[in-house]
Amino acid sequence: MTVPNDVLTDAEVVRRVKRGDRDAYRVLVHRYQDALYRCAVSLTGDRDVAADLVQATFVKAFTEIARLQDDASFGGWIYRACVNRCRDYQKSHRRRDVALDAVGGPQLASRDRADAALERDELQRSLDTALSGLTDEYREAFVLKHVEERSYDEMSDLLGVSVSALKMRVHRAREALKTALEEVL
Amino acid sequence: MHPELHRYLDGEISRSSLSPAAAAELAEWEPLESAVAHRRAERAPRGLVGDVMRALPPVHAPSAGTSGWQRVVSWLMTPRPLRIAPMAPLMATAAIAAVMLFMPRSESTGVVPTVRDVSTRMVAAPAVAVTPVVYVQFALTAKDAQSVAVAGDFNGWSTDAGVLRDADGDGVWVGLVPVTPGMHKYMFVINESEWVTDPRAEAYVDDGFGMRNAVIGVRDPAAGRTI
Repeated sequence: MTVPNDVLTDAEVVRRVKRGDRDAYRVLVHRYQDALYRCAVSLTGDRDVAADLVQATFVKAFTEIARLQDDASFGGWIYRACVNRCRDYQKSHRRRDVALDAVGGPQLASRDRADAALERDELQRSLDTALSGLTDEYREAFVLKHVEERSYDEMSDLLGVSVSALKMRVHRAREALKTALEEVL
Repeated sequence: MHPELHRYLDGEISRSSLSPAAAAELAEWEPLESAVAHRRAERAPRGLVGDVMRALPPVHAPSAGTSGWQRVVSWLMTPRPLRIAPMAPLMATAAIAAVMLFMPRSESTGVVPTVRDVSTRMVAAPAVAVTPVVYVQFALTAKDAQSVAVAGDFNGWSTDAGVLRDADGDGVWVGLVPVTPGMHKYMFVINESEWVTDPRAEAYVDDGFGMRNAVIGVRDPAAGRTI
């Protein structure tokens, strides 16, 4: 590529990929890997699974990129694909045996520990456990709002759900998480 | 939770405008916010970009830097619209049938043209024995369309490779498209922009992007089976 990758817009890179420039796709993967990975970790609670799902999402998107009508919308398009893939994974690997009560289990004794890193890791695990207890809709809404810091309008575009419905989902997700994590907090 | 706290977390009001009760509740929320912030700082594992690039399938379109012979090979391998008069498949079928009729029967000459009767009125014309390509007739009724094309994994999801025609203006768009034997996913593209799932496909599969791809199985005429 003769133009530095950093100055290329998504639309320009997507056009190159559509023309057959396979290497150009590397720019898009590099650009969106972190956001997709964070999202996948939050939605699945498993880093290894998240990495696999993100990789599969990128590969699938590459094979279907010719169908992307608005080249500039690649970011939202692949993000939506990642959420869908995580949703499918959750459906087939739902951990119904993880009760929210587990959040208040022995690992939460970390409050007494001096090691801040350990406490933070346990809080992360507690957060993942609590998130896994939410419905798919609530979990996706919470992750998009608080982890990805998306606006409600952006979330509405991504998920195809009205802003008012998304606000309700986020509010209820907060309530549920707060209740689940009460003993930790 | 206090309603003001939701409004603050939604970014609708500032922290300073919180009532004492809401502010107190915010303090309870902050450890969770800390955990979420830590999640925000997470990065994808090293090597993910390389893993993805290694897993990508080869591209269909030639890149700008390819050599002349590579472009020729690519041109030969890339599916493109083929205009065939309505009588042509019938005459070809008749010709092959006539040849087969007068040829001595033996196991080695038992090539039977593949004819598929699928819900979209797709009919496979006889394939050339050497090249594993079957011409599949796709059809879609789209009364007000200006153009219709079929895009699938067999033509790199190109919106202009599998163009259908509505010669008599009755709203039924038909076209023969070269497809290799096997299972293929496809969709129709109306007016070069509207992606439509074939309402009469053999089967469907989620495309992972919120829509459904139609699925067609194309039989290998030589092998006599769907790959």
